[in-house]
Amino acid sequence: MTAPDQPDIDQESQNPPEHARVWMARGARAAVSIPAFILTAAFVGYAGLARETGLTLFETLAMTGFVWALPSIVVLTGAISSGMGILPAGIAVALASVRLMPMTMALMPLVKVPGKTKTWQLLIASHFVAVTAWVFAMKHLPDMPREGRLPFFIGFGAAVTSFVFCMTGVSYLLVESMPGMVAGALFLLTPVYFLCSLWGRQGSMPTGRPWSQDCCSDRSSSPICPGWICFGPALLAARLPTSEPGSCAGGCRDGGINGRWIGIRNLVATGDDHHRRLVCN
Amino acid sequence: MIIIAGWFATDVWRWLGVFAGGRLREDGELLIWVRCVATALVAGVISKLILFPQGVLAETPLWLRLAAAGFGFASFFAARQRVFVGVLAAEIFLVSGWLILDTMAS
Repeated sequence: MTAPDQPDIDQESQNPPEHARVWMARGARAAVSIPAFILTAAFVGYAGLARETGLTLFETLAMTGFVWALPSIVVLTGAISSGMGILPAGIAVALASVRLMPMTMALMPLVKVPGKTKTWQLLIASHFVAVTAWVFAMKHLPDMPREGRLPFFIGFGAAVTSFVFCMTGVSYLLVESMPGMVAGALFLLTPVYFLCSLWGRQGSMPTGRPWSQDCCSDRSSSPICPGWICFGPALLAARLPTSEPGSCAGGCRDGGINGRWIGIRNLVATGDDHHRRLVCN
Repeated sequence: MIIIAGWFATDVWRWLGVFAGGRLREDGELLIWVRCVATALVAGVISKLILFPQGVLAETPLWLRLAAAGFGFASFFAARQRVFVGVLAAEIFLVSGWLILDTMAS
């Protein structure tokens, strides 16, 4: 895959700034999308929750901008509302955010141009790693030329973040007049969207390449995903149905164990690369 | 201050991911494993949001949320895996179910 890209890289390095800017603009334009729309709606729903919890507009916006991962934001809001200290709250948020690390790890080799991309650029890009952007990136980036991926991702992330940021502020101010049912319905958008796009081989855009080609879409392990979605929470419900940090910790641990199992199954079932390509495409 | 705790507690994982991910090859078995862990964790977030929601959605019965998600997921397949259809169907199911329950209660 890298060999045919080689002449392109040389050609691009003569004119990198404009090229990067073009890709960034493309990323920003791609942000006008169904995933971004759904995420915005979910944050509108969150604004309602924040207002109910008693957060100020400033606090709500700061969380949106700085944390930028809806599950972690919800955890932090819960921690603040229950009067948790700064340390337990930080631990709860950290536990809820552990999943960002493997997600970022999986993304980095995709966006990096070996020997050319600087670490600080990756650090900036990493702030936009959250489920929506990650799912979108894993689905669409592999179809793009390598040099365009990082600016595209940054453009996409920055555009989505700023739009969602503004919309969260606006809806915080308007949420008083919003019926409770609408806010509740907006909350359901996120999980159902995640669910469908995790599965999606093609999704809403006809690129045709499965982003999760080694996990859910792989026929040999496809029963594992629904199995996990049912099984993991059952464990949580049995153990700690109400404690937020507890359930996060449990979720992460169960995820790790089951993820490892999927990984081992992949190693065993599709150890030979050619076979995996066949199964997935 | 808690904002800073929240921000740091979140972004530190992303930074760690950058440093750890920089050394992985794009198609190595280790990365496949990492991707699987990430996928499983996202699946965990999904089920948590449906089973233990926050805010107003927590007022709905669990079976309604499950049924709405299931209906949306089924429609997603029926519409040849179009995400938008799935999400829309789940929302319609939830809101109509909610309205019916509300009128029955009052």
